[in-house]
Amino acid sequence: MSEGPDVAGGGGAGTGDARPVLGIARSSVVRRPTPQEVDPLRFRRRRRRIDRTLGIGLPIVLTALWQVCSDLGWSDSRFFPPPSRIWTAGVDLVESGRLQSDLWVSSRRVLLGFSIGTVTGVAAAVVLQASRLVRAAVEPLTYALWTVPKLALLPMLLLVFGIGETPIVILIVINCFFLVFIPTLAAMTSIPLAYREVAESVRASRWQVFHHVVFPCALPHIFVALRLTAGASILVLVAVEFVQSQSGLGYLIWNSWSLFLADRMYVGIVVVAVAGALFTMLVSAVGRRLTRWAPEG
Amino acid sequence: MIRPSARRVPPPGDDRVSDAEAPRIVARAVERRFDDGRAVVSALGPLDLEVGEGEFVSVVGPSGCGKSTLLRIIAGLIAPSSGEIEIGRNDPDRTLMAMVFQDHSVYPWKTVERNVRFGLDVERRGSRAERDRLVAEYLERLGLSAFARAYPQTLSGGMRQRVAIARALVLQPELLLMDEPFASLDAQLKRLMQDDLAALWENERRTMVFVTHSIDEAIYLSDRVVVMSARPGRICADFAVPFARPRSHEIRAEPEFAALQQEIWEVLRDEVDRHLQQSEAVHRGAA
Repeated sequence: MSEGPDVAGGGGAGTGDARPVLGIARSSVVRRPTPQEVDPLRFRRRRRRIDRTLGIGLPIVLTALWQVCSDLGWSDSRFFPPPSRIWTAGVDLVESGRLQSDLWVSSRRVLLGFSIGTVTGVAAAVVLQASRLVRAAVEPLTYALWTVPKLALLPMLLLVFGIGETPIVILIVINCFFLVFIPTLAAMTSIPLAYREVAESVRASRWQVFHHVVFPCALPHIFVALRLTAGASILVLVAVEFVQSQSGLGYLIWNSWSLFLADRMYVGIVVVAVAGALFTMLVSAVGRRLTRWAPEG
Repeated sequence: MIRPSARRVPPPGDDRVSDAEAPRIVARAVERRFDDGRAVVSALGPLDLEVGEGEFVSVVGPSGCGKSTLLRIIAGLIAPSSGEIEIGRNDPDRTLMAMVFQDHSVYPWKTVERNVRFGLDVERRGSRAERDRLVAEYLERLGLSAFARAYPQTLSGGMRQRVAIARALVLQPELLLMDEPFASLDAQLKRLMQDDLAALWENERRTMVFVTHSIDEAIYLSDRVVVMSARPGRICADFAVPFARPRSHEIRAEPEFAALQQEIWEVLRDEVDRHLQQSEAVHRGAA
């Protein structure tokens, strides 16, 4: 039990207090179970509760701080209206039905663009990982296209498809496509050899190798890409709605700015931010469910 | 099946008796070179080897001598650069061979049960009920039943290797190939797994090619121990293991065991020395 006086009172998990002991040594260190070991379930629940509280608490504290700064006149409320005024403007927008309709219009654009873009992105990666020849032919081209600033394509899309929903959705599709396609292809072409050989040693067909090995092995990486893409799709949406739309959250922000309605502008910004966070969290949650075997990350 | 003209190098005091049995695997002048675009590295051979029906043959050799390459060629994962390997097949409806890989071959995204049934599902062997029965039987035999629904992430290294072994055995192949299956296990666990494997093998007596770097493990498990030279690997000695089966770990205490171990080590030591000189020469050449 006794480890000599020099370690008495040493820190770290499970270290009890030093106390005098029997025999030669003057003190000892006692290792005892911490609350984590005594009641692991309760400990985990408690820790999750703390994590959640912190995650929600920080934005609340920051909002309160903002309000206080505004009330004390430390910030110019023409440019940074206090949260209370933003809230009032938000309530007005909800009552008039404008916020709901803008939110609906924007959500539809994002969800449509995101689903088409990501599905085609993954599908293209699947085709390319299956064929070295197609990969050799197409890969350099895709990297070249990736570098073209997507927003610069908007005038071209407007020319081809006219003004309306189509060019907006297509622009989101293009962005989502590349953001998912590139990491998915990288993940699918770097499967550990051992995993492939196990399948080949039982003479699995190409489809079986894909179904049993390549796809599940790449899935965690695909979801990292999807998570980033979820946020990026909203970014593109807002940018497009700034310049080319008469509806949606981006238009709400831009229009409020041009009318110098800072309160309303912030309502738009806050709603976009919250929607982006929720969307990203939703994608994460789906990913965690589908890759339960993977270590948390 | 044709007998190769090239004979094994007879080890000193060879008293093998399994010569009467039909060979199951015959390797003739097998060579493998790897070409990385700048240089051609000769990794294996020319090598001649014969493995008898129902024989447990271990292959030991210095690292990088091409033991794993030989196994991969037998498994058909890579092709030889020259020469050939002929593998006899008794029953075209049965799985010819199955391989157990080193650590990190168990799929983390499949549960234990799904890992074990992987080969059966891929080969679509038998009815679903039949496969279920086989999987349950081998999970039971390898002591994995309680973990059937667990993901490998939650298991110890020893348990994961059991999954890898069950995945091969469940196919009931005519031929088993194992590539250092216990290399990453700790010493105690390794002994337990060796006992398990000896018992499993003595039950079914499948032809086995077992690559290892442990002489002790090779003697304990095999009928024959083949020693490979430093790169490019050739067979430089071939020892029969005289102990009767079923074996228990008590044979490790017998004087013959130590003597054989010593004898194999003498041969292997020279090759390991040569391997070290080779790598030194390579480094000097690069500098």
